[in-house]
Amino acid sequence: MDLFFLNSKQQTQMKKILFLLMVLSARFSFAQNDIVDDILNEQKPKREYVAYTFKSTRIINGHSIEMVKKNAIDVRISHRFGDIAVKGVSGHTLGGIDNASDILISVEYGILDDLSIGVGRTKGGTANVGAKELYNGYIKYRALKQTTDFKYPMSITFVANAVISSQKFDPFVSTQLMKNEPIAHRASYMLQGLFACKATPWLSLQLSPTFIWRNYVPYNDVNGMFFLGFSGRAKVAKRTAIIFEYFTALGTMGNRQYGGFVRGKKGLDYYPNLHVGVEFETGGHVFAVNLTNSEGLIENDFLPYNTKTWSAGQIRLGFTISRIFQLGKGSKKAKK
Amino acid sequence: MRSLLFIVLSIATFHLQAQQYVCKTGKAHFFSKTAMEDIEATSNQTVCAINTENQKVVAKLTITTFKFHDKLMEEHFNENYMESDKIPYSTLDAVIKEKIDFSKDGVYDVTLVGTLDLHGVKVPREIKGKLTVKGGAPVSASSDFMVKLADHKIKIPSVVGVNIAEELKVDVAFDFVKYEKK
Repeated sequence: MDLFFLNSKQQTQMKKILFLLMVLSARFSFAQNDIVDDILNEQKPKREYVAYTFKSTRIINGHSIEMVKKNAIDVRISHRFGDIAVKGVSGHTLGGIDNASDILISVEYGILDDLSIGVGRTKGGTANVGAKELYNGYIKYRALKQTTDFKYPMSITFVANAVISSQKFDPFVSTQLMKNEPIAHRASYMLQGLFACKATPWLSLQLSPTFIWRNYVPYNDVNGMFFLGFSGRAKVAKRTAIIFEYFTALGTMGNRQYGGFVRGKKGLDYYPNLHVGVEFETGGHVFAVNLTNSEGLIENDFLPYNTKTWSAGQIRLGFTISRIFQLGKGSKKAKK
Repeated sequence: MRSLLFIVLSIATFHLQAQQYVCKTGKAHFFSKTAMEDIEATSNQTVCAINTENQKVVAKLTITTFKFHDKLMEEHFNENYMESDKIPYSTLDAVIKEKIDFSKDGVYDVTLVGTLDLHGVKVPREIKGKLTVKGGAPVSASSDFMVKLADHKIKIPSVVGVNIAEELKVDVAFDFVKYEKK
């Protein structure tokens, strides 16, 4: 084939091709860097998973899709103070600092990177009509991990827990547990699906449909309840993020009445949970300061029993600290 | 005409690549020692290419291939210190200062003169190393050198300052094979 046998249009095309080839040939002067890049590209794993959608296994009160890493332990202590701005009350408690609405201590262990188990204990929200002294055990499994190319656009984690109360019967305080009741009446359970997407490097969003089953409920209430949670994390600085959480009950919740005579307490309303906070991360620790209307710290407590509302100043200051311990430190490896 | 050009080009490419020796699974390891904590990580996917004709050496690695014993530490390393989502690679682009006679077997002390691109900051460096030549070709190379974090604008927050050394010791080792284009 020669330029001579081609018509003018084909000739110009051919000249373009030749020019392109000459430009391409210039790249051979960088051949060495190209070779290195080619090899690096070959090595690249087909799928890269999104890391750290959230910084911790919880967002504020609710679970996040994040897991404790394999063979690591996450020790978590959460504290919620009293109502911050209730007239005639908060002034005497320095904005609720004197009161402890709820306290959580939990330990979580990563069996695998995608499977962990945990145990925890909470006091139980002070004003909540639910049972107190809650011991809980839970299992958490991550079924899907979001990839950086958005082929899998989200991560999916499932959480199941069982809670049992060790509360003593007290005829003057407890509206929940009667004398001589079977132990099963002290138990409640939760099933939760977590669907999270790290949309941008600084913004992560999560939907958390939740089902709660309480074995024992008073007259006019329902055993099984559905909730939907919406959570987010917006990174504002390298180690600082704003965290957000909202839970609302789905459906009419059976015969549950709002504002009526519920569970023997007059004028008791239930409100959606709205939590906001700031999260700080230092190597190994995650520290969060937050404002919540919920008193309880575990889903089985704060979802069905939240009687506090932002509009009445029933918000509280709270903090959570999480510390990760990696087990089996490779001392043999460090010595080389 | 076009076919001729193709031939010329392919010869040129072949000619250039004939002197390339590469290592695909090179080892890069760093160590940070403080009174509080020893931190170390290894990448076994460091790529290095050495050109025996112009003595150019290029070594490059993907930051995320550094593996730590502590996974959380690995996460922090990538997110907070190296920012590997924005700056995924680190490169050493250098030339061997001494003239190496590749026809003579032996272990040569070499000095690499070039730039170290780490955390997106290029720093001119002279790095000492050893190069083993056998049968007219480079067989292996190794080196260790210090990297000052401040030089590469890697900031350590004061709260964890006592746990991370200001200067890391880096050691690398490569075994070369002749490069053949697939």
